Amino acid sequence: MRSRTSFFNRTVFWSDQRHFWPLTAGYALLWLLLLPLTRLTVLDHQLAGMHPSEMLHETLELTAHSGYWVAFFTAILFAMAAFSYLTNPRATNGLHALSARRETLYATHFLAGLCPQLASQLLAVLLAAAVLASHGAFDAGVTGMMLLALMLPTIFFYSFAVFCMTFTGQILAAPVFYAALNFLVVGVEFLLRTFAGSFLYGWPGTSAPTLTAFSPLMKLMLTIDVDAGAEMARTEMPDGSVIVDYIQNGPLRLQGLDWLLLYALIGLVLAALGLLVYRSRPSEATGSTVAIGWAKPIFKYGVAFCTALALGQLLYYLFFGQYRASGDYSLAGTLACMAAAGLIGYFLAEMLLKKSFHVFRSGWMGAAAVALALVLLGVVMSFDLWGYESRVPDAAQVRRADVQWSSYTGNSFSARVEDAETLRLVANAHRALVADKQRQLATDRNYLDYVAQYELGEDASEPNPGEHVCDGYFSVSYTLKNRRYSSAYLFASELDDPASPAAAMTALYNAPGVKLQSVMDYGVMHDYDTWGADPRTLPELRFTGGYFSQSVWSDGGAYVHDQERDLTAAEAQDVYEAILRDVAAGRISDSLFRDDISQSRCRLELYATYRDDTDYSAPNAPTRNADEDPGRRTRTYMPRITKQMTETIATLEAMGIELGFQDGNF
Amino acid sequence: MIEVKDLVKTFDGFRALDGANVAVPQGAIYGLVGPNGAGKTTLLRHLTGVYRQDAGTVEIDGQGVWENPNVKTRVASIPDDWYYFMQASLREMKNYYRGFYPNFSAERYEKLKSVFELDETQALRRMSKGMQKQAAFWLAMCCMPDYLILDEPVDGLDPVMRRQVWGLIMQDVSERGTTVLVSSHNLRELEDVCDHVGIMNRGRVLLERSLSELQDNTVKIQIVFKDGSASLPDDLTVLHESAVGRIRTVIFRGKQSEIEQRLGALGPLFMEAVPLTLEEIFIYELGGADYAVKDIIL
Repeated sequence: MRSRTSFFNRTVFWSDQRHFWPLTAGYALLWLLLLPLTRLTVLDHQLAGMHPSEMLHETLELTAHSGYWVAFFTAILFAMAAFSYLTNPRATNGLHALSARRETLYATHFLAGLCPQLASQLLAVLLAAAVLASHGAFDAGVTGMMLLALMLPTIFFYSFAVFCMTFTGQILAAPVFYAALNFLVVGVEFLLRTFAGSFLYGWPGTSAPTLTAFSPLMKLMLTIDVDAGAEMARTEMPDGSVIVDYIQNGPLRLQGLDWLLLYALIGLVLAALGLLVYRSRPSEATGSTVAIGWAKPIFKYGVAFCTALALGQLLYYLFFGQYRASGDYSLAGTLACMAAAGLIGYFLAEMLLKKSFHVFRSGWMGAAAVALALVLLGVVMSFDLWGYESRVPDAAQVRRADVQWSSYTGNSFSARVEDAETLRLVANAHRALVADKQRQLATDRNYLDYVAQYELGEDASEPNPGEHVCDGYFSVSYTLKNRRYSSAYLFASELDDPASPAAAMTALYNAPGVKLQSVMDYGVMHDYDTWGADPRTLPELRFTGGYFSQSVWSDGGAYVHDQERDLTAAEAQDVYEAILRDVAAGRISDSLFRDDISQSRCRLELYATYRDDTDYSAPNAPTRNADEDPGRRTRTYMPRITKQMTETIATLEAMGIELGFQDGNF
Repeated sequence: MIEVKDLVKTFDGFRALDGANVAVPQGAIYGLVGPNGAGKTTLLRHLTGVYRQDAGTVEIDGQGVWENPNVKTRVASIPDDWYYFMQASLREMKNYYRGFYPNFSAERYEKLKSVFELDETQALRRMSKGMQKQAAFWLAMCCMPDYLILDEPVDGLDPVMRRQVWGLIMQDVSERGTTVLVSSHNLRELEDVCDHVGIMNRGRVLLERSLSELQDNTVKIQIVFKDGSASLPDDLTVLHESAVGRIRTVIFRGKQSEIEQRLGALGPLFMEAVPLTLEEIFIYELGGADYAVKDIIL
């Protein structure tokens, strides 16, 4: 007669607690130091005069961020402790010979590792809440959010760590698997992007990862935050001055709670999957790097593939690619490096699996398959079978395009384009660069060769001597499909040819909306969400002030002194409106080339705010800056003033600001 | 009753058990002997539920052992690498065993204090190998098992303690009907305690008989013929033959009386049946299986 399945064994549970109490004690101490003790210290020294809501806010913020960080690092320690017997043959045999089913052992050890963590967190949060309550800042809702912020990531990371433990019979392999799998997807995404960048002309390359959801720590870092409503507080000082401050006293909200819940749910699923893996795991696999039979080929070929991408690209860069641009590559070099690195990874994995160095004879067939697959991948990429390089979306199908042209040798601009006519100009510029691929790459290669020779101290002649060349960085993003040309060369001599990149890019630059943005967004990209956006489209745009500084030089070119002053809200508004009038009247340069630019040396900043319509509760919503006025966002413009902008210059002169100019960009 | 049928277990392509069959009668002390790598420990680990068989059945009293706590609570085992927690003392391990064996006898534990004079509070890892073995026996006996699975059980024990331990086991068998399956290389010792023997080689059980049956079926005869070179009858199974001068020592498989009768018909000058030890039976049976006996026994 078979016995009923039990998922808990008291003897095992308490035995684990007895044996791993130092880990539990250290963990509990960590939380006690982080929460109640720091609350006591901070309240005594700093926060005594703070508004209770601010105390709660700060405490919740500390809890929210430390929750996933601590969970990430400590979960694997608890998993290693609770399931360490799976890495010691004597222990595995000893425990599996006892009268308990595998389910009982797994579930009990799982709980034995999880419970001390949750209990420590509960204790720390309750004590912290008591400390806050003693200063009149108790809030049951916030206490609940603190518990969720600690427990949910713990459930996920611990389950994930246990899942990793069930796959290995080597104690040191567990943290390696855990860390690698936490970042595997974004890491492979990064490697694939750079890999594709070697082959594809115009590939965006190493932009921000998009698959962060598969890297929980990264995702939580990006999404977890604390939000609160705020109101203005005026404090009158003894000297009559008034300090204005924003006090956040609205209901606190834990941003990213939906992600925490989702990850905790995934954690429970992983815990269940871990049980299935554990049941199928043979006792004799203890000591193996990968303990589950079907996972061994995945491990072997996965290591080979990742090594090929990572080490292969490094080798290629060192031996072939140091002075090459995107799309300009050595196919033979790439294939050789990829195959060599893939073979290194393959045999390394084989050695780990077989615990022997004698793997070359037995593993040659798999190695050959890996090398062949990598060569095929490289060849397929080199043919650009998807037609990525030449594809330019039809302007009619593009809802929006974000373009940027930045250059050290010519004019620069950035713009968010939505109207059909300007989108057509964007497509034209894009198409012109695609058609010009071979010459662009050749020019790039010539310049890089020149730079290399110059750095080596060899005699080298500059490419295109006497030619007026503007080289820069052009990127265009069509909602989801990004194209970025890390090096694009425009030749002044070709401006008369409307199909040339120089003419197409200049036509785009002269589109009305683009031109205004090229003036206003010249400086730092302060706010990525609205960077490139036409300021006239921002809702309720109001200028709140500004700043001006300029170094004054004597006629002989000697530095005299710095001149600076703040601008009032009205002055900033006046400058903005003068810029609008200059742009409308066409009083800025029409050329991307620098021959007709005479630009002010000043640093001019205009501070503005606009209505914030962002839905912060939406998935992937940006993080709201806690320093900003609720409901509004701030934006700093750094307009570039050229000599042709007479209205703007006159407006500034009326404020007593005399501008100095120099030719070209600086 | 322990019954293992056609048991197969493969490790990374190596067939450690290749259709092993074992039947241990209720209340028997069954000695499992075989050279290193024969598969004895692997077989025992199937009986304690550590390994899952690739093929075949492993049953105790008609019930499968794998993942069956009902059966496993009736089985106590002492493997050759007995496990204890790193910081654990004997007392802590006692409490641990109590959690798994509902029949664990605290009374017997107290009684055995006089046999195993160990410090209950001392960390087991600080004890000698022999003392650890004593501790394992102490706890196993207190589990009041119906089945006792022992792998090289007295290895590391001094002669006095060996006798004590075997005495305890025999007492348990006679009083409680405990069934014992013991694997050992110490054939002489097994001969004294076992009533059944199974001989394993290369993952198979080559023969399995009661000790008396085994001894009855193998005969060692010293014989001297007049001309010194008389040939033996072809239909007698000769397991081994050696000669010193004119004295020939021959080991036959078969009944002693029948063999003596056949040899007597050849008119030997001298003929005497010599008792066979278990070790000799083991050596000559496996010698027939192409096993290089001298390499492991000597």
